[in-house]
Amino acid sequence: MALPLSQDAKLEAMTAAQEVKGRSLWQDARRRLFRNKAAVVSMIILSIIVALAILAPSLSRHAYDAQDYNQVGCPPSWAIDMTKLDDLDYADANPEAAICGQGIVMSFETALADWELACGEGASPGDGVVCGAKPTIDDFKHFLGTDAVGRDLWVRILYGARVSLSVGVVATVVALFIGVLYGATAGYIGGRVDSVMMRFVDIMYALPFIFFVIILMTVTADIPFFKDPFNRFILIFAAIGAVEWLTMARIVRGQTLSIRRKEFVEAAVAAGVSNRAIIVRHVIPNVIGPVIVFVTLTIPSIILAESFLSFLGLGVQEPMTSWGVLISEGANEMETKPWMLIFPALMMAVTLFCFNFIGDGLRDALDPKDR
Amino acid sequence: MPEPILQIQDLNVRFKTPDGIVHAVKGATFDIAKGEVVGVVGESGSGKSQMFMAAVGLLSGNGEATGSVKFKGQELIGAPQKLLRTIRGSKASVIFQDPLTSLTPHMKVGQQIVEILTTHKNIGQADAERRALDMLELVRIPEAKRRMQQYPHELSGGMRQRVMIAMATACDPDLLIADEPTTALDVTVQAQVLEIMRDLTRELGTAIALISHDMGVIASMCDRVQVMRYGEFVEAGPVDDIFYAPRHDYTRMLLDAVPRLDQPDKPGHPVLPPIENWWERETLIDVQDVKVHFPIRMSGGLFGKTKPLKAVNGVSFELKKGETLGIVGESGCGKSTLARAVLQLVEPRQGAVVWLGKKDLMKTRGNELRKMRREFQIVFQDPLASLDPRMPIGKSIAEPLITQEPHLAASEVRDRVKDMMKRVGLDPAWINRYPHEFSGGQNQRVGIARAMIVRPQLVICDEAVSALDVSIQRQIVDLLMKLQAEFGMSMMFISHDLSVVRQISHRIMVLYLGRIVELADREEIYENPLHPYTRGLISAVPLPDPKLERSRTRIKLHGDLPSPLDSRAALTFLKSKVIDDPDAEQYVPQLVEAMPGHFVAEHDPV
Repeated sequence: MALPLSQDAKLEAMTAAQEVKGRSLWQDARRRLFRNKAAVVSMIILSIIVALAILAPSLSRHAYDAQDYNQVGCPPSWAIDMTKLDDLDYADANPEAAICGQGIVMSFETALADWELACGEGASPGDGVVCGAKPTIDDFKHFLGTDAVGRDLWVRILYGARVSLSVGVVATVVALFIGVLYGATAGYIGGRVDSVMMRFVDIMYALPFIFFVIILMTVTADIPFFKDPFNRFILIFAAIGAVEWLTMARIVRGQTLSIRRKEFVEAAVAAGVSNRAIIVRHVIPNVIGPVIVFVTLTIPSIILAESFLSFLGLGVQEPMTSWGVLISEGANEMETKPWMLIFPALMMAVTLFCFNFIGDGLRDALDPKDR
Repeated sequence: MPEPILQIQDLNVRFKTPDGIVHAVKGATFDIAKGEVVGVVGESGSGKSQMFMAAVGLLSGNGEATGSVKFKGQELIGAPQKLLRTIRGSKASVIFQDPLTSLTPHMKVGQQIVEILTTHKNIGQADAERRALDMLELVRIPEAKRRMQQYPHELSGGMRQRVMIAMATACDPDLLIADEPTTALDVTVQAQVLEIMRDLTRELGTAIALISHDMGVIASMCDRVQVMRYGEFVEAGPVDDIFYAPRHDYTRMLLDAVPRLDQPDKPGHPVLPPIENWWERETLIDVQDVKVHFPIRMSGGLFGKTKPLKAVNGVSFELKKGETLGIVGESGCGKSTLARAVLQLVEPRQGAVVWLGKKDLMKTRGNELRKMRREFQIVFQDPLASLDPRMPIGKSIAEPLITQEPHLAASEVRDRVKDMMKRVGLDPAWINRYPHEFSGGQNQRVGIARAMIVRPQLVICDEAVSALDVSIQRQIVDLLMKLQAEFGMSMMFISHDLSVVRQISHRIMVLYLGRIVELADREEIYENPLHPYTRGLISAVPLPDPKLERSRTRIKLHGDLPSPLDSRAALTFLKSKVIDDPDAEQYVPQLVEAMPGHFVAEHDPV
């Protein structure tokens, strides 16, 4: 309802309300985001996953690249009786355990007895014998089982999370940054600049993604700088990000074109606001809705793109791994070793759900009409 | 009293929305007799349109109607769709507000009328085409035969609305429901359309239910009036009773708010203080021969040709400090483009805009221009569109201030924002609200606060009140006059509505196709208009005074505005000098000072 015009009396009452502080869209958005339960739970789960990935080396006694010749392709240790792996009767009753039991070189008891003999109390280690720590049952346990060459799956999933999450997030941020700035600039300036900028995007689109990445990877293969695994890893980000920003730029440009013609942008120009401030203050907050939806779709597609590159031998190289690699290995062994597929896929699914919920929450939080 | 065509008895309309049930129409009861024109007045959201939509079964899916609506004795509420369709098409037709969206874009105009005739009248194609042609001629569409073969987008707004009327009346309906039929049209076109509707009732005895918020239209058209508010009739009666002896406060308020061309200074509202010693006052801006020509791409050749669209074509005027200059004209006359040219918001432009006799704004660029912008601000037409939907209004109001005075402390900005909000009648506690939480009038107050916060010397109001209901319109006009008295800024008040412009402006400039046709004092231009276009414009404005309306003789302007791309158009009122070639360089009518301070463009004697 509109106020009546004679409101001098009302102004008195208004003075009492002077204390109200101004809030920006971002402050309002944060408040609304934290009221969204699904988004908050997702953020908690996601931070746990990230923490696990960061702390991976100290969370397991196994190294990600160490092969356990005693347990090749073993199911999760909580699903089988670890002490009876070399027991033939047990193997008859539990076929999955039998698969891993077949490769057994030494059971825990044998290993313990050997250790006692060589390094135990009263024993004098002979020449060339290096005494390690006393074997415990935990050394023989693999929380999520082992893969086809006896590497601990749990620790490999955690290491895979490092690669997949960083590729997913970093490549998306790269795509977001380039795409939003490029698209917003093209759309805001418009005219000939827009045409030239968007024709360049069209040309990039015309290059097949794989073709582009293969060229990039093979061209750089002989450059010493890119032989270093870490630098090669960075190159993957660049390659994927360089392709993903194109769609982002198109989305943002289309939105910007329509926003640029709105009166509130003209009002800002009339107030003397600079072009840069208009893009940052008015254009970007108003294109953010569709952008966030696109981002939540981009992260999974980038994680999958990375696994595809790895499959072609262009991405991460053994023994390093990623979720994409783990899932494709698991898919190959799915009939005999289902755990190799189930656990990495579960992790990825949970992560993607989290990203989606956070994306939805952000989009709603940034829309003031949605209360 | 003759047998009523439409009898509405205790009609209730409810909408189920996510926020609960909205009771849009509460127990409406009234009749319309044969040949009668009944006006339904009310502000937006009063349920006036929904009442008739419910009557003809066109409510949206979440709406529900109860009560009784009898059309010639036949119950329509709960009637089967088949019956409703027959009635809608042939016996009770509806004319909607927006003539563009209510015509099918991919069908030729003639075909659309023929379709209705063949569906409802059971006649052959050839007969239907003949009848369609007759209908188009009846609504006075020139070159009706050629128009039959055109698509809706090739016709102007007024022409499309006439086609809509032709379609609606093609089957000789007994009742015509006209929902704001002229709101989207210019006044001169509105006058033509209203006259066609008046003739229809006279010649065919069609009853008309005229839904409008414009008291002038109601006064000139209706026999009886129903005043509606919040879904209820607050008052009903013959048109003279409503206008001369309103009983309900709401009707009185509505009538008081309506701007009257013949009474610019109404009692009970701020009075425009006259500008004394006009010649001695300091000139704020001196606009010299401003031109804005947009290149328009025409088909032809491999890449097409461009032709200049002369949106503003040589406009010169002076604006004194503290003065308000009203700019009137119909759509496409270049009034908004002129405002943007003065504010340096459009390219390309020519001419000079001299600020305080020193600086030519046209030659100012970049940072210097951005700094100058604090002196001239603009208030836009659409209050919602001119505010960033994702910016709390406090931030929107503060934006010009933090841009122009970046050194201000946050607390000082906040205090100034709150102070300005109080001055424009907004509660300072609302700084964190978003534009969608406000009504149009409140958003317009935000827009005014944003323009005023840097204390500019010039405020341009571009159709600032056109999108608002009359009562809110009045409040905003009063507010602007109050602010002018307080801050002493100059204003350029742009509107298509001559009556509003006359309330607020010291001098009035009439634009026609990018050129000034007349510029004079507010009294002078109304009492003594010299140019035939100004006379036609003044005569076309309906007055909210039924007796006066009945006795008025109108000066008619025929046809629509010619295309500004046609160079002959500029000489519409000086036919004696026209060269008959659309691309030729034509004579430019000069502005002559007919009386001291009264300028008029050359024109053929009338």
